[in-house]
Amino acid sequence: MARTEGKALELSSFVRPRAFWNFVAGYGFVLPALVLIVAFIFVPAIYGFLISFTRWDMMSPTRTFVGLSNYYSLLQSTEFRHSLFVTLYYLVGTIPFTMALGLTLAVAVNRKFRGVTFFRLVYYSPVVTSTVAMGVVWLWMYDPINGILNYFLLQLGLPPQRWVSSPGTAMPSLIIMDIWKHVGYDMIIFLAGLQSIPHHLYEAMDVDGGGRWAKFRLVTWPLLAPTTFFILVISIINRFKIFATVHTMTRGGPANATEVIVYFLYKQAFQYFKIGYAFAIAYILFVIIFALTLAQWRIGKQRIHYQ
Amino acid sequence: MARVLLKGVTKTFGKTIAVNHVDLEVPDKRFIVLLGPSGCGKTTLLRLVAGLEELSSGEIYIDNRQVNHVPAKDRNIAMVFQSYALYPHMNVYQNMAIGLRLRKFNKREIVERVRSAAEMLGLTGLLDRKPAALSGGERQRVAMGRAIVRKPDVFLFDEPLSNLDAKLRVRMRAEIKQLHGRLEATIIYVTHDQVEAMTLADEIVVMNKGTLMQRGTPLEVFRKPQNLFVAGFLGSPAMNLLNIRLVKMDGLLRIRGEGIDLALPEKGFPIPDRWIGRELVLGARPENIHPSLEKVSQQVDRQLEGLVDFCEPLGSETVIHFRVGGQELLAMCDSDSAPVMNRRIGFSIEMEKIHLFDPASGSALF
Repeated sequence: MARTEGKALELSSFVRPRAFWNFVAGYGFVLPALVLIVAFIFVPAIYGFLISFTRWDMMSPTRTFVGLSNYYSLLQSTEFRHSLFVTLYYLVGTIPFTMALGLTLAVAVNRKFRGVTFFRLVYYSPVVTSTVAMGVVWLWMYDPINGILNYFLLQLGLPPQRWVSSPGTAMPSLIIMDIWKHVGYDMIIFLAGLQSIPHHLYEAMDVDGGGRWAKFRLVTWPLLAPTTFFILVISIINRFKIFATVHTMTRGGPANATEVIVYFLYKQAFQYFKIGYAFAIAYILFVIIFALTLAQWRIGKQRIHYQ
Repeated sequence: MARVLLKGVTKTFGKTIAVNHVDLEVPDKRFIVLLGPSGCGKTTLLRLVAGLEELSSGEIYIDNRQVNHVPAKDRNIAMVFQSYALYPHMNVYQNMAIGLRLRKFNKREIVERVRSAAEMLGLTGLLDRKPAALSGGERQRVAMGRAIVRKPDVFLFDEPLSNLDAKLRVRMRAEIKQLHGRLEATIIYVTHDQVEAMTLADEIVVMNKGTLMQRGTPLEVFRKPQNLFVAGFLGSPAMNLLNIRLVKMDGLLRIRGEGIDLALPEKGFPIPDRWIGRELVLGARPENIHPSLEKVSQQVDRQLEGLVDFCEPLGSETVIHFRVGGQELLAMCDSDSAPVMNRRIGFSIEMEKIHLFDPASGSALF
């Protein structure tokens, strides 16, 4: 009797400190990341939101409260509308092609052949390359006089292009580079999606009488829907935030032809020092992306077959 | 009308021989079950017939047409997969209709065939459900429905019941059997479950290590196993296999072994003289060995004396584990007359039903 009592006591006194230390350890692990996220994301975000209601040049100690006037003048601004349009152009020019090409490559490397890993690696390598370094190399290639692309065009008997130096071709040039850089990412995600489709469904298709196209149309494509949807959402968010390549290669030019929304924001903040105005742009961008993502999830829930 | 004929069919994966020179004829409308332990090559053989695997050598004929290089979709076979392989994004109707759609049947024909198959399988109310919203048994039926609507020459079943619980399995087994009667189709059915094989098959083909071990009606393979493998594989609990020696005494054959001295019945055992004095394996099914009430001495020619280890009641019957010499044996008895543990008692063997095998080749002596 005495023995069992002792055991019970021992257990209960053991359980409590253990729960306590679990608690401490758990939060201990979370804390470093939490501090960083709060300090560098949440605090600036809220601070920025407040600043967007003021006029401020970042240097002067005074911030004038102007209410909604930053937002109001933004919605009136033709330059802002232009930058939205340019961004849209960029989105439409990059996303469908990157995804289509990514899917094609994924299907191509989703087979067993010698050197398949090499190809996967090669297609993926631009994704992990520094954007700025890449921009510089592409600038060389796009050089109207010494660039290798014009050399090839001439060899093929085609007229040379001015690439990023002309308002008409600057955006397509950025789009080509973007597709090259991001196709590997889409490929890898699609590849993961392809490999999660059970093999026996293709065998069932073999028996049911489906050829390669039927297999793709009736099995691969519908079962990839969640993957495709994920890539679409991620792509839209990322493309809306495009900045580094524009900054490296065209600085929004020529003639504002490549002035995407984030570059417009950058100019307002760091060239004209209209910080309140810039933050207002950031918040409008946030609302746009948030609304788009929400809408996509709504549609996705109704139309996409999650198993 | 479809007869399936396999000639010297061989399939290797690298250095592994999955199917080794199999000759098999499946007559029209026959229900054949390929039975064997996992890894014996039965599924590979089925997939070869389906056209899902490329032959390494040999020939396959379906309905007198050589189909070695004919793709699966042009063989006019239908297959029910172990995993069912239903298309998760299509509803039941679409899953069943797809084979017809891809073969460009007209709409009215498709609707008609799917409707009648759904009726036959009790799926009428579920046609617009997705597979995820179906129970295991319902999915199984959809997989069969998908095969039935095609009206194929040959049905191939790859362990179709192994993912169902025991109760459902018994019911689906009965349904498949009835279905075969109604469809009058040629069926090749793969399973490792001997009860399924016994109950469903017109003929069982027992396989081991890529080769055919025996073919026959369920009762033939059960009653007359041609080799040690079939003897040990079929039957539950498994057949007792004992090392013995055949001797001749006073002109009569006797079976001798450690603690064993039995008389071989004069009739029914045409054994050539060359086996006399040789080491053999005696096979006796547990259901042919019973604890005997008489004294051992009274029935000496068909009795063993054994020490009861323990008993396993199965309900109406009880399995008795006992030992004779160094060898462990099983016997069956009525649960009411189960013996007590650790007692030496007599067991009588129905000597007319024993089997004798050559331990070297494994084949039956007669």
